[in-house]
Amino acid sequence: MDLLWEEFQHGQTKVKVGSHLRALSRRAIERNSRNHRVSVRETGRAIERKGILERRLEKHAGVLMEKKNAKKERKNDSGEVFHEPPAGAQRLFSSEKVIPKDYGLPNPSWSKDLRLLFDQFMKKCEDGSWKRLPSYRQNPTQTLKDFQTRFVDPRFMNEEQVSKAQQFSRSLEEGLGFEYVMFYNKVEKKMVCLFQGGLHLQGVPGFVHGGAIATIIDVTTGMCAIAEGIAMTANLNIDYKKPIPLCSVVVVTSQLSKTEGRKLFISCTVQSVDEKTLYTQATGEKLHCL
Amino acid sequence: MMRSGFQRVARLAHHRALLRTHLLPRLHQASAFGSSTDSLVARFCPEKTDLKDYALPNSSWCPDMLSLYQEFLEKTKSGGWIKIPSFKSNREHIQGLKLPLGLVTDSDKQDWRIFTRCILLEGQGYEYVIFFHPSEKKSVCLFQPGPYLEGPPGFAHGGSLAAMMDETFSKTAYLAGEGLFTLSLNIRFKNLIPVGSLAVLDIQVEKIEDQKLYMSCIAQSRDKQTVYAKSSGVFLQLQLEEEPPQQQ
Repeated sequence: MDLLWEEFQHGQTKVKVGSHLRALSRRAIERNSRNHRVSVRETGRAIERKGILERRLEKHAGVLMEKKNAKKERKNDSGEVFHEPPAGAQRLFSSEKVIPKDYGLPNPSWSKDLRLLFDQFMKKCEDGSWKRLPSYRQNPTQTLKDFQTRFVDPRFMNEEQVSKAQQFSRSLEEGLGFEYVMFYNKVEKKMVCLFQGGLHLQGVPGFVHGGAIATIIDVTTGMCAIAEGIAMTANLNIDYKKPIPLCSVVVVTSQLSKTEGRKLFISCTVQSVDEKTLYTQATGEKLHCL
Repeated sequence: MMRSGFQRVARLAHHRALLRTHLLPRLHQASAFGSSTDSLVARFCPEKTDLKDYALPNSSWCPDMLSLYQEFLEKTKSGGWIKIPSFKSNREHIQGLKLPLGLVTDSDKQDWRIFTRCILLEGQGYEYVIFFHPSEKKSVCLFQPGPYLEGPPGFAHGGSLAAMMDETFSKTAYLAGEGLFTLSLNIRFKNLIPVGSLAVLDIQVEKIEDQKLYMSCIAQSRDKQTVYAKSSGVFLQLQLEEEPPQQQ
């Protein structure tokens, strides 16, 4: 049983193998996993036992096929498994539920400043006025379906691309790109984003790229608007006052100023942790999607 | 307050340049800074170099992008246009130069990368190439967003287009008049760009005044039927200093 557990351990799929399969000849299993295909006849004498054992073997085949397919699909993402088992493969007899990774939590690349700020804001969350927003690499399936039925022309839908797609601000490796976490205050309609720019966000040597700053402002104002319902950016107006040094921590504060019909007007500032330095000021207009 | 700090430094550099040119009359803003567009281009786009140029066609480019790229490549041969190479970091573009005093940040880290080349996997992130026309002070950027730049499902993130515009503005501003830092960016989004499709960005330098470069940009589809976004940007002129030889 240990051998089978080890074989299935790598990759995200975990399969619990029943005790009946101990009876299978070890050689047969090794041969199957090497060839990546299962012909029921090859497993030898054990197959003569009909019923539960034969069914479990077929499922074993399905798992290996799925693992082989999954290896191809999993090249570009890490953390979540969103694929459906390919047609023809059997269900797994049991598997652990895969939960998408929440990127809005401390990781080794976060600096001390960022961690301190994070703790401060988590304390504020305790009384319920503030709320930490989880952040995933891929759009949740429900949002995808909603959006696609409402806005996308079926001619432009490319299934392969849709499955590989990732949220832009979470596409870079740990510590090298956007490291951020968002906190929302429902009463004040204020969104605060604690942001640390990594080495791969460089523009002028030593400073964060203007476009990276624009992206984090767009993401923060976007989340502020999404609290009221799905919205898209119509306008973005950014005034850069001071360049932001790479790998430093800044606080991006975004506030909903007013609403006019479908339009949302949001203002945003990027300041240092001690609020003494104003790096950037921005205003944005978002349009609600009906 | 910082802006006046910038201007103080810029004025110092400007004075230094004037002394060097023996107080020649100011004919053109860029030349008063001591470097003409040609010398800037020559330094910025080295012809023979070991550095990897990422602005070259690869298997992920869509047919539209490939054909337009070939068109512009022809124009670089006949005259007027220049293809700007795209290196992994801006430091590689400005070898031998450094930022003016007060702006140099010391860092022992080595893995810098320019934001628009942060995703090096072919076809997954930014696929772009910029062509610059020195005499007319305009440029064209062919941009194809990959699936890693997604915002709304199936479309490119607004921030990725903002970054692409800022990057093109920045290269144009530097070559047209030593523009270095972004002062402001104003983007009006009209339509979403589908992931994997081509967007053509046309940039024009409107004016150079008071140490600032004003530029406008329009991002549209190849056939100009769909306008994706319009924007304008203002860049601050700042001259880079020569690095002292012993530090290199």
